[in-house]
Amino acid sequence: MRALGQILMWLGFLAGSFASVSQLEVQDDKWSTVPWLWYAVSLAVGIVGIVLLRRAKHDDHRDEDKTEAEYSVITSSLAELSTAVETLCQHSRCPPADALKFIDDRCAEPLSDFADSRQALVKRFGMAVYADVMTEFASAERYVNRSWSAAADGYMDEVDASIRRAQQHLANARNLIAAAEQAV
Amino acid sequence: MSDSDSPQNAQAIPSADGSIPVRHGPYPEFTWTAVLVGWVIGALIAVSIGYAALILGFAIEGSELAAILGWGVLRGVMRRTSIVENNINQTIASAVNGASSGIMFSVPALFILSRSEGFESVANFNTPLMILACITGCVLGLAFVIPLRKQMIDFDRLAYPGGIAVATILKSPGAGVRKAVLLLGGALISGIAHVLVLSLMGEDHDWHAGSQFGLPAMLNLSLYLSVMTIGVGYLSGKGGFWFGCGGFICYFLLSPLLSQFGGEGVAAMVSSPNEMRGVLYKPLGIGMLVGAAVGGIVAAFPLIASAFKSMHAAGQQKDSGVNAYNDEMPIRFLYAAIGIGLLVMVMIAFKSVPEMTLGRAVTMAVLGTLWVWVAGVVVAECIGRTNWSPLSGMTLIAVTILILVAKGGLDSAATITSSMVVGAAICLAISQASDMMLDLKSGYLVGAIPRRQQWAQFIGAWLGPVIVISLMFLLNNQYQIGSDKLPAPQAQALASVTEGILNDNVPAYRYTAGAGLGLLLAMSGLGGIGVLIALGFYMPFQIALTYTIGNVLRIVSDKSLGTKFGHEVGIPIAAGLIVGEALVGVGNALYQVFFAAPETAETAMLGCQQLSRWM
Repeated sequence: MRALGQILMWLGFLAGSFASVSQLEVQDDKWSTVPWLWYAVSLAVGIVGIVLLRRAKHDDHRDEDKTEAEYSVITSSLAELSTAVETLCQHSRCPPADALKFIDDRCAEPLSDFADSRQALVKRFGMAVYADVMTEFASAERYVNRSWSAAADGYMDEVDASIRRAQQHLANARNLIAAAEQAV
Repeated sequence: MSDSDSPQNAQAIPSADGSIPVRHGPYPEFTWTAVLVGWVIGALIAVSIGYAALILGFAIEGSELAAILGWGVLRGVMRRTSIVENNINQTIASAVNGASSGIMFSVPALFILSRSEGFESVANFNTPLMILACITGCVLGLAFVIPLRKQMIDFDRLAYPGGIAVATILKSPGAGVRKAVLLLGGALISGIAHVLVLSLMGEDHDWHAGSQFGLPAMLNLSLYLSVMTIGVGYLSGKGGFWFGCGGFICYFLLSPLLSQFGGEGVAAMVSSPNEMRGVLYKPLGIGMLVGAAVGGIVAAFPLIASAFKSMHAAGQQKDSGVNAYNDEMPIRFLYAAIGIGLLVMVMIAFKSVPEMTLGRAVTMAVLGTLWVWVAGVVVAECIGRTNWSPLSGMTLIAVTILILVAKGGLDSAATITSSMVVGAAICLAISQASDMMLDLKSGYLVGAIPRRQQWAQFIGAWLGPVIVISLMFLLNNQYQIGSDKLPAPQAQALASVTEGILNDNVPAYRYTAGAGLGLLLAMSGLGGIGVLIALGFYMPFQIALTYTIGNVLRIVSDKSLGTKFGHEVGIPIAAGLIVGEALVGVGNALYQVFFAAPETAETAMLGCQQLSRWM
């Protein structure tokens, strides 16, 4: 179904594009430059393709194994990030260079992994939960980045304040996911 | 889920090499120093780039330059030590500079048109009203785009290659010697490469590989010789791949098909790819961009609604706890800015020419304001996905809409004046919207507070129109805009297009067909391909091809060397590639302006020829 959907969508798009540019402007009646009937049929074929694609995507979402694998990356990276941030909160008076290296070594990868797997949230919980979780996650990431900048400049009070903000946003994200888990 | 789920459970922070002096107290961010330095740097860049744009016919991205100059002034001269303070300074400077390209593309067209018979009065526009229009446009553009920050940066996580480059510069003091060397190395490579290209090829940076290998001209197989473009493609990653696909669809698929089965005139035109682009692919691409962007908004509506809902909720909460929305500008302020901005736009349209009726002014202002929102979304998304902005195309549609509204009841000269005054405001709005999103991405990467950056953008945006319009009058009095000394190629092009619109020469049918195709792709659920393919139709294929090299390099490096290599090595080099070429571009522009006087007219004419291919 997916392959057929792709074929029909692209066929519709390409045929519609061809129809749109197949003639130079007709001076007497400009709007007749595009053969609209042909164009409409092309679009209709494309829309059928999209319907098939969306149905295939819907079936994908119900593929437990695949979704579970993606979702496990979400939970593990969030846990890893939370641990790293927790550790930094406990040692917020460490030298700035140490904090800087620690953020680079321990936070960059889980942040990236979570972001790369974020679509698993949409599949599992829907758009609204995705938006709420990503709002908290993005704020956490921004505050981790702020801690990095402050550490690079030596402002350890700001490192401490920002990493605690990041910790709270991560906790919010985890609570939102836990609540969504229970609601499923 | 608990911490015990974690694969790692480190309890200590290992020691690192090197030392950074410890400082106490608040972390400087939104300071008077940042504001004042931002205004000064922004004014310098706006004057330089605005002046160069009038002569050469193209504007240069000023964000990286602002970051580097800010870095030099704040850290080097003033011994200040805050990455986020420099980010605010850069935000203000680039907001000031946002006016240079927007105004130089649109307003000088009035001076040029005034030298045509029957249009003498169009140069007598109300100058304070024009400045007010441009400032109002800036406010509207920012107020419309700020609520989309969450969707584009937090939810969709668009790349904003230019934003990554700026953030890499801002973070360089703490990124370690290795990353700084990679950044400088990249800048050096692209700077040298650009000097070579400029000296060997002049203004034409296209290498026509296809013709050298005997391939048909319709395939348009040329490469834009720009290492920066490869860097941009690398930073965009595989997500930007569809941009190149748009170009391949045009020249590798549609052109050969059209040569066989197209209408008579089209079949004869396929061996001239630039003409094909100008007459067929570009108008279709403009329509597609609009359709894809509107479709994208519809598709992302649950996310946008969620963001708005939460912003409203945050505004009603009195707690000072950790709410992600406390870092955002109050939504009510943005609503007020849009409402007041719309009213001021009505007043501006009404006052633009004596013959204007209130009903027509309201129609122009409302349609113009709605277009600011649509075009702001289009441009912000294009910049986010590819670093290229279809500003000229969006301005063209704006001017078309305005002229169609105005010309029903006004004479030609009044139609042009009123449309250009409101059109300039829209052009500035679109320009500010894309600059704001790029800066917010940089801010995200350095950990800036969005609300502070948004205020900084407002603080910078008003100054640009004042400086650039004053500069424009000074130069027009001194040299006359449109003369050999100041050819203003972009404004020349807009002036001729404006005359075309007055004569009903608008391919609205192709815009409409493109919009339907863009909507189709937007509904596919394949994130963002509509806008990217549309941009592939709109932009010169040479650029798309070179950009695709960067995409391929990123895909290969991620597959073979891992994503960590990309973050640690690839991104600093790619950011350097952008910076080096941008700096040489600015340097070359200034050199052409001040030291290449005998060739200025010739250079400018080359610029005109370039532009006629690009527009």
